[in-house]
Amino acid sequence: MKKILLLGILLAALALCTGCLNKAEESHVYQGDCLAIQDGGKTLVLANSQPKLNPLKGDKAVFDISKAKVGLAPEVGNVIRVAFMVEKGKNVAIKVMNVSKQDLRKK
Amino acid sequence: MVRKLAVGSLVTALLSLLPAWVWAGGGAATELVVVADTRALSGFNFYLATLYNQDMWIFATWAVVITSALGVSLGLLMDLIMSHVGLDLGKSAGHVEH
Amino acid sequence: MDWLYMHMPIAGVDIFWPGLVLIGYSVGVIGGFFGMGGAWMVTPGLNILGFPMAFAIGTDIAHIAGKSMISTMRHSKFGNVDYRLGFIMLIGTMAGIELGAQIVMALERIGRIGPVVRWVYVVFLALIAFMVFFDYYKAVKNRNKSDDPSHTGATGGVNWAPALHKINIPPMMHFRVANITCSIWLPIAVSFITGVLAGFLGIGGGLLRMPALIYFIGAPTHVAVGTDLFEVMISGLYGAFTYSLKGRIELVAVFVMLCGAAIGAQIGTVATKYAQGYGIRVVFGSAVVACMVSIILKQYGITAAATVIILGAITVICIYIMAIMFRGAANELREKKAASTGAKA
Repeated sequence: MKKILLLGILLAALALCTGCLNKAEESHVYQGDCLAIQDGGKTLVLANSQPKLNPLKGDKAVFDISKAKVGLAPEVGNVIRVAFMVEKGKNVAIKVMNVSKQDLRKK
Repeated sequence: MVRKLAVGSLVTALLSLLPAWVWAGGGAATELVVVADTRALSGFNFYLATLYNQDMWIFATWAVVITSALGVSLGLLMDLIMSHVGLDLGKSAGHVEH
Repeated sequence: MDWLYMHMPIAGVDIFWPGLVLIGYSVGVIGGFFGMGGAWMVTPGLNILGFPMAFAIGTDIAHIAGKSMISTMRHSKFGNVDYRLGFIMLIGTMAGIELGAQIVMALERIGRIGPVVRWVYVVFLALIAFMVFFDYYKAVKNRNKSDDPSHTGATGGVNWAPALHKINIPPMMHFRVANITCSIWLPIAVSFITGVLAGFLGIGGGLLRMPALIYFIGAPTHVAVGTDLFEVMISGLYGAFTYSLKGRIELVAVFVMLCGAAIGAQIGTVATKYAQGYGIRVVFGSAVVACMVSIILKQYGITAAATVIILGAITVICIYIMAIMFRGAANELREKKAASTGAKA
């Protein structure tokens, strides 16, 4: 019983530490139809197809995907979902998912 | 028991024969990246999904920590409830469960 | 009917949550009752409910981690774990899990994960069903023969351990609790193979590892049980970590299933006190066959029928085990009451 309690406490402590360490900036998610891929594939322009859900205002949004983890290659016309952070006024993508091509439900 | 072992070995052998069949119908290899849609989420789900999008290492650590903590606490809670109800699990303590 | 569906934030699918609770609960009941083997229904079950295959595997393995924590803690009290053997086997288990997970990811990349894992599961479950029914057949045959004085009881397995212990590939090592000396590569190889299977199918691997510990490594049964539990916990924890890192885990589903499993495990464990005979094996075997059939139906796109069959089968087996428990408990209470009235009189 003591062992279990000890383990519980250890885990709680670890959880607390992890929680404290997690001070990274909050990321956001944006989804829309791909309008253009520019700068040799480094910049993605998405239409604001779901203005009520998307966190950025305006008809379209530009994302720097040079450092992002990109799955199935985005093409103009595809629905793309981007996880991004705002760094110095620029939308820097972390992950890019091609919603049109990647329907996980069929797997 | 030996038969169980033989069966297991057979499964493993079959697994090793799989590649030819598998690759025959496969498409081009592309890594699938999943972005969790956090836009309509709130609370704990939002936190988890944001972490998932942002930092996989912290997410993975969290997943292991929370899962084990929940497993242990639920086990303790159930032990407590069972002892209150009066059913002594100690009688079957030699029993394995997993 | 929207309230019956729960949104999974990461996979982005809406899942029939009573099915999720039922799967978690049943795995608890069945795992608690039979001692092991419950995870085989989780991956197919989750896939049939709508989880993408890789998510189903990752979620299954993570829920094993949560569930096995408590049972390992309970067992370590009895000193049945050979930690030296356990830690050596860790190398193989973790490498195996990683390879299994990498195969899963590779299959996902080429878009073949669904059918491949489903067919491997069909073969795997067919073998389990065969084993269960064969054991039942043997037990019934032995019972019929029991009047015959020449009958020597159940036949024991062939023990390969002494021959395998002679393999002298250094370093050789002595394991004190299990009281064996063998090449370090033997437990590593055994744990690697079971690890691959566990990582690929999202199971604990005990079904394979336990007999291997007894017949290949030569550990006494109680040490094999304890050490296997330890390995299941580690394989679950490492599996949960690596699948989370690969982004193929749905934590919300893990939590829901764990809650169901915690309650189910207690009921299953209590029911073992009252269980008699081999009849229950037939029920277990039938559940395995039902699970297999539902995977085949899912493979051919008949998802509604697959869902009904798998959920129906696990419901039936749960009700059966719960009936054993309630009947047994009622009898016990009646006997106690009768005994106390008798004493008073």
